[in-house]
Amino acid sequence: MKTLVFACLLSLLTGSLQAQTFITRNGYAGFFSKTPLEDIKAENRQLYAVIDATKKNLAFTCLVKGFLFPKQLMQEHFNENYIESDKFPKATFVGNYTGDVNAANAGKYPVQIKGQLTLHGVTQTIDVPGTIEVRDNKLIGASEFKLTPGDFNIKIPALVSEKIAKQIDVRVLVECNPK
Amino acid sequence: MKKKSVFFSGMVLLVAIIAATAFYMYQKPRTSLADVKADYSVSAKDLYAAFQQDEKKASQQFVEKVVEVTGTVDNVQVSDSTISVLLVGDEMGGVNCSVRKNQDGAETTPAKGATVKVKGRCVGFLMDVNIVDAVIEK
Repeated sequence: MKTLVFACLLSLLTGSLQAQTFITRNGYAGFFSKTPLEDIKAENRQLYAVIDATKKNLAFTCLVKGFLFPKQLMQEHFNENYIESDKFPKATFVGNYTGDVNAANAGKYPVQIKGQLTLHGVTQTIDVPGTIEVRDNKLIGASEFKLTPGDFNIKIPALVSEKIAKQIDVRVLVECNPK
Repeated sequence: MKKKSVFFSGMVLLVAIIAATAFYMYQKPRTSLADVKADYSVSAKDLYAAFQQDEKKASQQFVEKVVEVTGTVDNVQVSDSTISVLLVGDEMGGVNCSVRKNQDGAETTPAKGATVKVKGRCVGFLMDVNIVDAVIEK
């Protein structure tokens, strides 16, 4: 009887140890550009994210065409002229985080996220601050940072350069459930 | 003299029309697909299988097209602006539909296991086929 209880406990424990991978298919990524002439906003609600809380790895991917703009024409220009989504349909990030996140303890933990971001066929290392919150058996990752279009070989024509910020604000929010 | 002024006012009018049209086009919001006829009508399983077997070919056929997808609801997730409906493809993935909430927020949330028909714009394939600007059809 004792061994049976022990075996049950052990399987429960290892079970919970294995459940350290958290995923979502519906994460959020948005970017914002604010200039006196024009405010630009685009949001993607189909950001796929995996967070491995044991290895502290994380990976994100989304389809560039999934970024939706309030203005139709702006969305077309973004896809055709700037990000060339037919040629480079996906954006990905693979990296890891530092910071003590205890998936068993509820709370909001500050982290530093570092990894490779691939956009428009160009891969750059980014190192950005963020938070990981443990709540209701979920991992909620959030980060805000800035990107420069030129770093990803995205050319902004001189004609519209006044309308597009030199640095674009990026927001990421993922609510991941145990796998 | 008279001819010249007629010509001149005609030009002004033309420029004004062009400017107004350009402004209108520029400000035009992203179109809702509610009244747009679907280019394709498929089951979620078939659409998923098409991308799974040959992503390149399926992309050429479906991406940027309005598709009407019928399938079984695997999962539903509601956020402030979007209802994410995942339709069953196979055990690996399915069709992930981002449904825009109505202005009045009256969009009905489908139940898990229900069969629904969703119309939206296909944007490609990751783990699932991704559909955006979707509307749930009765």
